[in-house]
Amino acid sequence: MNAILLMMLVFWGILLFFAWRLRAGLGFLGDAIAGMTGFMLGKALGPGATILEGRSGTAAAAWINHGIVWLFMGASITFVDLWLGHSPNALHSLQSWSWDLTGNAAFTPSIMATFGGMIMLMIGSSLHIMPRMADTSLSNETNAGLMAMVFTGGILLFVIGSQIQSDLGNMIAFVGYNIPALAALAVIANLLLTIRGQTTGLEAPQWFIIIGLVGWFVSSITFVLLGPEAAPHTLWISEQLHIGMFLCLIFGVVYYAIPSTTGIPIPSRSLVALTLVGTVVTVSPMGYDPASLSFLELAWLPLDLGVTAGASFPSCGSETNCTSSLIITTMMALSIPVMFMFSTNVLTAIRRSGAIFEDTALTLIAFGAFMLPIMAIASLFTTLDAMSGSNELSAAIGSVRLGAIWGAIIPLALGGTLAIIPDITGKEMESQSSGIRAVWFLGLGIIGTFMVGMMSDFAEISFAEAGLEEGVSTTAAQLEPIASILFYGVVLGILFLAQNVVRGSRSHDFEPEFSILGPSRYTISGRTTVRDLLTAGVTLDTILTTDEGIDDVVGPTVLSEEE
Amino acid sequence: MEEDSGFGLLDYMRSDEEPELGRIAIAMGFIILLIFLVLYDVLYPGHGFPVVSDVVPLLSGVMDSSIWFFILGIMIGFFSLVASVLVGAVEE
Repeated sequence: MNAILLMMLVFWGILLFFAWRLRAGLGFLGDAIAGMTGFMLGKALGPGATILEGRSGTAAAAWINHGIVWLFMGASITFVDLWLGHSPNALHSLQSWSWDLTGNAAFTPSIMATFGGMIMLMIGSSLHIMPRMADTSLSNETNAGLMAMVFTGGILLFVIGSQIQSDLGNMIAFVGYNIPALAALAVIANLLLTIRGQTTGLEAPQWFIIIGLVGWFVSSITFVLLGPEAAPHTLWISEQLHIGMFLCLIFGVVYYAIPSTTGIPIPSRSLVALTLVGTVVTVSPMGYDPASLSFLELAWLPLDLGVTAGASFPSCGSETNCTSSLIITTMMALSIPVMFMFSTNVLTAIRRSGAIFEDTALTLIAFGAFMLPIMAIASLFTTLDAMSGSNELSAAIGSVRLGAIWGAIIPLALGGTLAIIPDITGKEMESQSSGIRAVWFLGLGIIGTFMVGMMSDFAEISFAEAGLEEGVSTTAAQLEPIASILFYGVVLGILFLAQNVVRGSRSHDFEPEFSILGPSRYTISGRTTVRDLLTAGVTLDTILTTDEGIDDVVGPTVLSEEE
Repeated sequence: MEEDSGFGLLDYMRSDEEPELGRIAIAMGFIILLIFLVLYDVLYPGHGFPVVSDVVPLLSGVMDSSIWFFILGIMIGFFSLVASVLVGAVEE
């Protein structure tokens, strides 16, 4: 049977079996497995289980705080990588410290830090959402908090290992890549134990989160099951399934975050269900880049699973079997309507709330939801072009990958997380107006980087089409530095948002509270009307705060009041 | 009343007793520092900083690329973030 078809059937089969057992239970085996898992998460850790206090909500907050710092690191390293793209020896002076940060040395750590940070944000949000919707507490808060440290340690190891150009470095990076996976496995077990006591059926966001987390592992397991012979195809499809499962996770968090923040339900439940099915059934074209081979080598090479430079499916011809191309093209094309379904649903809910450009989190979500279908379509072109071997758009694949990650995936993940932070910690962001400004930095930064990057790429493509194989297009060479400088806006945007969250966490001390009927708190930024407030879902019991009021709490503005 | 307290970096560098124009003075200080660095690079391209380059080897080639200005910003941002976390931890 065709390798891709077989892979997808195994992937869907495992997920379907998992979903079926999740609904039906494991019978008498359930108690035994639950008891053993609970023991493994708790007492089996020995003294480790008592390191943290384990107060309710601390694990989620720990994951989010670690994640946001890693996201900033990811943005910073990505900026350095972009810069090294046009000036490979810009940091050669570090060689005096025996650190060879030239060429594409920053590429692999940029992927690990960015996706590591994003996953940490999502896991942190999941640790809040799952027990909250199950109306229970997290099965093992201490273990979940501990795993945040383990996950961070893994990312750090990978980043360090990727900078050591030797077998030892490769091994460190390999270990660093797999440690977060183990930590995530513990979190999944924790979440499954948590929802075990849920008396009602699983809600849509819970399905998204569980399927997203489990599917992340299943896609890797499927790749390993099919063996090295199929690896030239299955490895890259496995990576695309990872992106799809990350999106599934993000969709779940966003679908929870919007109603819980605004009090306005998601407009269409049918579209929510279709989004869930669609993310599992289709393959996302976003984030594909054969250049990530260097990352995959560090992640998989010690297992000798036949890693190759990019997927390559034969084009259809009179004597060529192109089943793989047809399957992958169809499944990637089908993912585009799914992105539109999610985007439409989310943007409609946010528009009804009237909170766009007033609430940082919702503005960030709206930006990500708007960019998602655009980036998915752009990715479809570049990914299929590369996989079919045409390579006419290969110069643009890096810019599209960057746009998809930082223009759609990260804003959605970060926005969803920011929206539920007040419910997790009981503390608001320090300033909504500063937050909105940070979103502008991030948004304009990534759009500018994407646009200028594409201009540079197409100048390169034109140069190649003109038959000038040697040398580099002058236009492209001039535009590349501009693109990298514009990406600095993304670095600043993430930094300002992180500062806002961290400083907000010590500015106020609300009691954590939650009501699905309406937001417990609502921050007014600028002038507004009662009609807008009611449209935003504010109820008679909602606490209203003004942005200026929040700023007043911060020390230095006291001086301003004296003016 | 001031509309916004800014992004936070300068807030750490001002005490409660600092004069009203303290923020402007600090900002000007940064700008002058950057201008000096750029001018030094223009006048003495490829040369390390006097004295400082001898003490900190990294700075001997620091002006080879303007990426260092951006990295300086990232480092300031990162440490201000760490400072925020530490202040929060100490407060509690």
